[in-house]
Amino acid sequence: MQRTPPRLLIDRAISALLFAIMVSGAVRTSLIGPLQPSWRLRRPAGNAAGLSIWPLRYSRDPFPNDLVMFLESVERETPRRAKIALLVPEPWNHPEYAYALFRFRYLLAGHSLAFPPEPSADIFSEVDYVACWHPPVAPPSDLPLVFSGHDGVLLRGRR
Amino acid sequence: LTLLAIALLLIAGWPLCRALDPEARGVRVAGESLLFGSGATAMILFLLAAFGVPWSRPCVFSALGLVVVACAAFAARRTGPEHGRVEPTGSRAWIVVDIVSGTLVAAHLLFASLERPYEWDYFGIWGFKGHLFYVTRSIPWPILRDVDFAWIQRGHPLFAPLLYDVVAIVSGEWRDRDLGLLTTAFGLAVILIVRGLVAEESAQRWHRSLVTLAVTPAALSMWVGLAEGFLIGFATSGILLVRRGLLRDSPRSISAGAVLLGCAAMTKNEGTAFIISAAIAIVVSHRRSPVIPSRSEESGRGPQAEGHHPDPSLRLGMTLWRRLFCLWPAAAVVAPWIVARRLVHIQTDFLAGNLAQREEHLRNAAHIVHQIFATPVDDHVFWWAAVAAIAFHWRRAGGLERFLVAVLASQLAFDVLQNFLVPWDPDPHIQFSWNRILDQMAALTAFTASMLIVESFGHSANNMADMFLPPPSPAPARHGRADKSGGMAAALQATPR
Repeated sequence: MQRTPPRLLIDRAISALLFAIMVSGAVRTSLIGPLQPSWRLRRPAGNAAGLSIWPLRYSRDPFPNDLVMFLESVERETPRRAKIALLVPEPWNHPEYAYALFRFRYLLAGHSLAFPPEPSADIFSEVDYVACWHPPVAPPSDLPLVFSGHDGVLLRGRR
Repeated sequence: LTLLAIALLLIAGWPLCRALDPEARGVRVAGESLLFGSGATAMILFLLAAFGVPWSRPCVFSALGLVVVACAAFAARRTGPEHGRVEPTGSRAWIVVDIVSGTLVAAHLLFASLERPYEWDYFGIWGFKGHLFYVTRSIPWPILRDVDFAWIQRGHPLFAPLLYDVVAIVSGEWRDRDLGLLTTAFGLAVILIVRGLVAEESAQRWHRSLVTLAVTPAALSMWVGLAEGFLIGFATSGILLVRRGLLRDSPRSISAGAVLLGCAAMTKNEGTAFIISAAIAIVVSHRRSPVIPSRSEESGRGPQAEGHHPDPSLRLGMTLWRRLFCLWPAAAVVAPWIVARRLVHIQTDFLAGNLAQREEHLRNAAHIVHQIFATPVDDHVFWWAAVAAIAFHWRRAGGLERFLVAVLASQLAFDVLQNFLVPWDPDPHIQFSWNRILDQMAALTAFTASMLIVESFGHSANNMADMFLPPPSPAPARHGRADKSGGMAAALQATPR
């Protein structure tokens, strides 16, 4: 029986090792995360600079799901190109926080948005709708209600 | 309904696959069908919007039906060479590795569909455009030249949002929670294409299983909701089909790959760089690309039986110009976007700003390069191991896989170069994009490294124990043929340099 040269054996051992490292290095911990039992869900792992913190979508994204669902309902209830004033509490009224401005624009794409710092009579007469989600101050009671749900109300503006 | 939309893309893409790549066999057909179907449907939406036709189900389905019927008629007249079925050999125990690969795909499916996409690039760029297009049932061109919407990256190609719109049109509503499934589907398409291509080159089960396992995590993009998943799907498959065309001396395969590279260019600007990289790599690898006889040629079936000589050293391959000309479909696919961008005056980021900014970047070249190396990469272990594997097998890398190595080197150079071309501060650009941009090449790198590794074990191995047997006899190589088990190293040795 022909013997394998030691050099070839070493080459193959290194190749096998590199292959194992390559495959294990490519599998992200965030990919394994969903397969883990639920009691491990809050455990962060991996490189903090990147995607490998699990569960990233829950731990890093502070945008409340209720707010998303409320805005989706607003989109369904309003016609395209309608002008909508958004009344949301701190810190959501700061566009920089959790990219709130871009989230609102994405969820209500095709609409014109206004972000009044405070509710005023002027703003209610300039918009078609007023979307309030945990508003810092109560909106005027004379505005007709379109719908309520997900901790928010959609009112018809005076425009 | 998202799964229904993906199934529709797959079915619609099947005649396209038969027409564009009649040599595709086995699981590769499914992967290519999904990619061709997705590209065709996105292009239909793009052209309808370009001609001012609002999107509706009847309109989109009619246009898609016409394309499918035309391709089916064309495919009926265009048959590929009969390669015969390659029976896999080796231990069936390697199915365990396939189960691991399948588990990774299932894990990604869960990961991608757990929650709606959350990245800024999704709701700031790709998701916003997709949602806006769906709401308006067209592409609102004025917005794409409106400076108030500069944050949506107006100059980016539109295939990614258009693919989201395909799903929304089929399902009748915008459901971003399920859009991640598209990312998994594209990753799976790459995996199937890789599996099919490796099956053509080697009959060994362990060979197929290990390369598939290596490519699987890299093909499944973690950037759910972004264009990366689509770009990886189109670009990786396109480059691999071009590689197949070069190895098999098949102009059809190169052209089919070029169509996918065109789709990549319609997905992200880096896709255009992939086309240029492919052209550069064809030039660089021209003299060293061996023509691998198909397995049916080796076994006496197919072209050999019809009089073709299987000896790669005696077969005249395509000329360099012919190979480059085979890339023309890439230009044809991306042409509508270039024309539309001209007509609507949409500015790309790389052409914005002034020359002084670029001069400033060049003066800070050392700092920019340092920033690139200093930026943490998620899968740095993978990259170090893959680069080490390619370097370790540098002889084979510079020979048989010269094309792929040249593509990777060229693409890396383009990715570095783009940091010098951006009209803004390159530091945050590198910080927020470098990690993600590297991922675009990960599947190709994994394929290259794993092919080199499995090749180093020789093709006679049937199982783990056999791996440590002596390498196959060089006798067949003397006659310029691949060894009986499909080894490419022997063919490379026999190829005239």
